[in-house]
Amino acid sequence: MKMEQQHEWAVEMLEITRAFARVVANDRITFRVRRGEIHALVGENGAGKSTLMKILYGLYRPDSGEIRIFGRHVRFRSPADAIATGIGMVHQHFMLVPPFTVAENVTLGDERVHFGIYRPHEAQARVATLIEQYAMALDPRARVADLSVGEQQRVEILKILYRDARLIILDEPTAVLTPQEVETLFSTIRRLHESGKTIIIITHKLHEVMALSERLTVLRAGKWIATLDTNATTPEEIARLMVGRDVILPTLARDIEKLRQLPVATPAQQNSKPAGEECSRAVTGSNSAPCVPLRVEGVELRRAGRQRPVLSNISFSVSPGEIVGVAGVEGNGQKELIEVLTGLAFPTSGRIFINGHDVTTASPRVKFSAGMACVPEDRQRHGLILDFNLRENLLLGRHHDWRNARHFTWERARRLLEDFDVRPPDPRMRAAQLSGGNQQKLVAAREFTRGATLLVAAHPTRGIDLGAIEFLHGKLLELRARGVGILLISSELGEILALSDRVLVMYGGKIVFEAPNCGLSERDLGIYMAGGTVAQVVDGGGSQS
Amino acid sequence: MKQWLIRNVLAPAVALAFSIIVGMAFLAVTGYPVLSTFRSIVQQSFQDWYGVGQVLHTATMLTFTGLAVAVAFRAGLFNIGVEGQLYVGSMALGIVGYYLRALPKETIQWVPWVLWIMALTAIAMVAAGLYATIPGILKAFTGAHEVITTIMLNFVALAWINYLLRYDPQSFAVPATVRTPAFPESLRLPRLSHWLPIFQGSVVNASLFFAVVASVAIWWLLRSTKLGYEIRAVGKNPVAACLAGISPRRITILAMFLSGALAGLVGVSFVLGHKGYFEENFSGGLGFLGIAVALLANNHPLGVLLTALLFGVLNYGKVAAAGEIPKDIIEIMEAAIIFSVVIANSLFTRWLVAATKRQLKRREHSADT
Repeated sequence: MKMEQQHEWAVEMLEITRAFARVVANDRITFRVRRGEIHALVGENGAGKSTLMKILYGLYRPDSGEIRIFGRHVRFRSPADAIATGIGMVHQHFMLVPPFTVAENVTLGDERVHFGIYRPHEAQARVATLIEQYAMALDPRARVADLSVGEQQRVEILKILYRDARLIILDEPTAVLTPQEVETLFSTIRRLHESGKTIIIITHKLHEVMALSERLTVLRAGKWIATLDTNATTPEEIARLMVGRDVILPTLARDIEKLRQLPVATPAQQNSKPAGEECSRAVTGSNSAPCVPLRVEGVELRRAGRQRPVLSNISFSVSPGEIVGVAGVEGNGQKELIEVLTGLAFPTSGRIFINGHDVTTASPRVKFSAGMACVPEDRQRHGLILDFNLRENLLLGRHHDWRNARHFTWERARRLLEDFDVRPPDPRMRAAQLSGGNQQKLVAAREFTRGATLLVAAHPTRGIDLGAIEFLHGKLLELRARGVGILLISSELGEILALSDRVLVMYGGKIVFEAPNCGLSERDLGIYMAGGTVAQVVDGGGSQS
Repeated sequence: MKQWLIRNVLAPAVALAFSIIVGMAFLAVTGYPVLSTFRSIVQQSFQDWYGVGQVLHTATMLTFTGLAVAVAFRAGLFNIGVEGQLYVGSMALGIVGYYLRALPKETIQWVPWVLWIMALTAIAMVAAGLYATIPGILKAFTGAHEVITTIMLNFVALAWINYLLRYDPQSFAVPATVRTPAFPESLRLPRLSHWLPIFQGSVVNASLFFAVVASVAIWWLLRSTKLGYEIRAVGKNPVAACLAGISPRRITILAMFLSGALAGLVGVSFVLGHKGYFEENFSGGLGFLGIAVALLANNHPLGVLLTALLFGVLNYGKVAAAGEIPKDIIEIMEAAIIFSVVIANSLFTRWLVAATKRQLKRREHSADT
C-alpha cells in the first residue's frame, strides 16, 4: 500500500496493441495517467479510445503490451478483476434497472449480505453517506425510472464509488446531457478530483477538454499522437492533432489539380454556374424552381430525450458540378445531417429540395427518383445486404425498374466491378466475403453509376487503402466534371481541402463556417472545428445555452 | 456453388443424421429395438401404394404450411400463426359449402368445374391471407412482434371457428356434429386413384399438383421477380432496403398476406380434396410442423417439397407404427430435427464465413508478395 501511495502513475499502459479481424484498433499505444489527475483521452470516432479503455477495464485483452495500475503489474481477465483493482467505468449507455431504487441499483451485484440476508436499510444508509460526501443531490429511495438522464448518470458514478474505485473512466459523459446537466457533472467531477480520485474522460468535445482536464492524450487511427499539458496547448492544436495532416494527399494533389481543370461538361449545367440560377431543364411538378441539385433551408432536428436540437438552422446548397465539403470533428451533427438527407430521419422543421423537388418528408424512394445517390456512412448496415451476392447488391435501388434490372446480367455486373476495382470481381460472391475496402468500392460502384445529379458521400474513403482512396477521389472528380453536385462529408480534413469547391464546417449541430475553398488552411478550419474562437472555447463554450 | 451445397444440402443432412441418432438413443434408452423400429416406420410408408398415397397427402399439406413459413422467414418474419391461418382458410371453404348445400345441382353445373375450383381456391387463399395480414399490419405500423400476435391469433381463430360450429344460432355445422355440410361431389378435387388405380383407398388427391406448382411458383417469385427481390432484401437488412427505396412496411404486409394465402391452400387440400367438408381440429399441428419443414429446407421453396415428404413419412409412420412404438418417440425426433437444424445452420454459416475470409486473406497475401 505504501509503495502504491508514492507511485506517480495511476495508469501505465505500455506498448498496447490490439487488432480485430481486419483493423489494428490499438497500435503500440503507450498511455500514462498521473495519480489524482483529470486526464482527457481525445480522438475521433474509430481512433481507438474506446478499445484502449475497454482493455483497461478488462473487457478486451491486449494482443501485446503491459498494464500497470498504481505501479502494480496487472493482467485482467474480466471487468470483475478491474473493479477489484479499483477501476470503475461509466459507460455511454447506462446499465441500470429502471424499476429499482437508486440504492438498489447502486448495491446491485455487490449486495452486502449477512448470513444470506440482504439488509436494504444498511445499503441505503451507505449510499446516503456517499451521496452526501460528494453532494450529488439524489434520493436513495427514488426509482431510477423517474430520474432524469443527468441523475441516472450520477447513479452510475455512485455505483463506482460504492465499489471503492480510485480510478474512474467516463466514456463520453456529456453526449446525452443538457448544458445545465453538464455543469452539474463537471462540479461532481471536480469534487471527485478533490477527494483524490484519478479520472479519465473520453471525449471529442474540445471545450470540455479545456475546461476540465489537466493533461490530455490524443489518439488517431489507432496510434498514440501526443500527450500534452492542457495549459500549454490550444484547441486548434488539439483539433489539428485529432484530425491529422493527410499524408497522402499532397502527392495526389497534382493529379487532382489536373482533374479539377476539367470543364463542367453538360451544356445544360454550364450556364448555371452561380447557385440559384434557373436551369434550362424543366422540372415537372414544381413551378420553375431553380434546378439546384440540393438545397437545404433552415433544417432543424430534435431527438427525444435531448433538450438541444442535434441539428439547428442548417442551410446550404450544392450547385451542379460542385463539390461541397462538410468538415468537422465527428459527433457534431454530420451523422444526423446524412440521416436527414437520405430519409432515415425527418427534420423537425426546415425544408430540403433535390433538383427543385421538395423532399423534406419524402421516402428514400422519392429522393432517388428526384436524382439523389448516396454513399452511406455505415456501409455494412446501411449500404449493403451482406448476404446478397454482388450482383444483387449492385441492383439495390436500381431494381425499381425491374425490366431494365433484368438486363443487368452477370457479365455487366462483372464489368462494373472491374471498373471500380472491386476484388475479386466475382458477381456471384456474397458481399459479406469482401474486405471492408472492397465493400466500400462496391457501394461506390452502385451509387456513382446511378445517373444521379446529386451525390451525398459520407466518408467515402474511410478504412480503405491508399490506392483505393486515390481511385475513388478520381471518380468523384469525374462525376463533378459531368455536372453532378456532390456533398462530401468527411473527417479527413485533407480530403475535404483537396476535393471541395466550397467548405462548410459543422460544430454542435450548426454550420459555423462556410467559404469557397481558396487559401483555406487546415489550421483555419481547425479553429472553427473546435467551436469558433479561442475565447469562446476557454470560458466553457457550449455550456452557456 | 460449393458454398450453396454446404448451406442447403450438407448442413440439413448433418442435422438430420444427428436427429436420427437422438431418436435412436431415445429408443435404446426406453428399451425398444432400435433398427427394427426404424425399419418398420419406413416400411409402413412404402410397403404398399396406399401407404405412399397417405404419405403424399400429408406431404402435400406440409408443403403448403412449410412454404407459408418459408416465405415469411425470407422477409424476416416468423409466422407461427400458420395453424390459425389454415383453419381460417379451410373454414371459409366450409362456410361456402354450407351455402352451396341449398343450391340446385343444375345451377352448380352451370359454371364449369375449373372455374369453381379456381374461385374456391381463391376464397381459401384470400381468407387465410387476410387473416395473416392482421399481424402484418400490426408489425408494420406499430412494431408489435409477429411471434406474439400470430400465436394469439391462433387461439382467436380456433375459438371463433368453435363458436361458428357450435354456438352460433345459425350454426354452420351439420346438426350434432362439428363439421360443415359436404360439398357436392362435382365440386371436389379428384383423388389420384381416379387416374392411378394403385392408389385405391388413399386420400391423396389433385392438390398434390397444387403443392408442386406452389413450390415452383414461390421459388420463381423469390428468385426472379421484383417482389421476391424486395422480400429477400427486407428480410436480410431492412435498413439498407429502406435506404434503397424499398418500403419495409409494404413488404412486411405483402409477405404476411402471401404466407397466409399459402396456408389457406391446406383448406383446398383437406376440404376439397380429402373430406369434402370442414371438420374441427382436422389439422392437429400441421401449421407448427411447417416450421420444421421450412427450417430443414433452409427456407428454400423447392427444398420444402423434399422436407415435407420426409416429415410426411415420419408423420404417417407415427400413425402406422403406433402399435410398435409410442408416437411420442417420433415427436421427440421431430423436435430434435428442429433443434439440430438451427444449430447446424448457425455452425455451418459461421464456419463458411471464417473459411472464405481466410481464403481471401491468403489470396491477398500471395498477391502482395
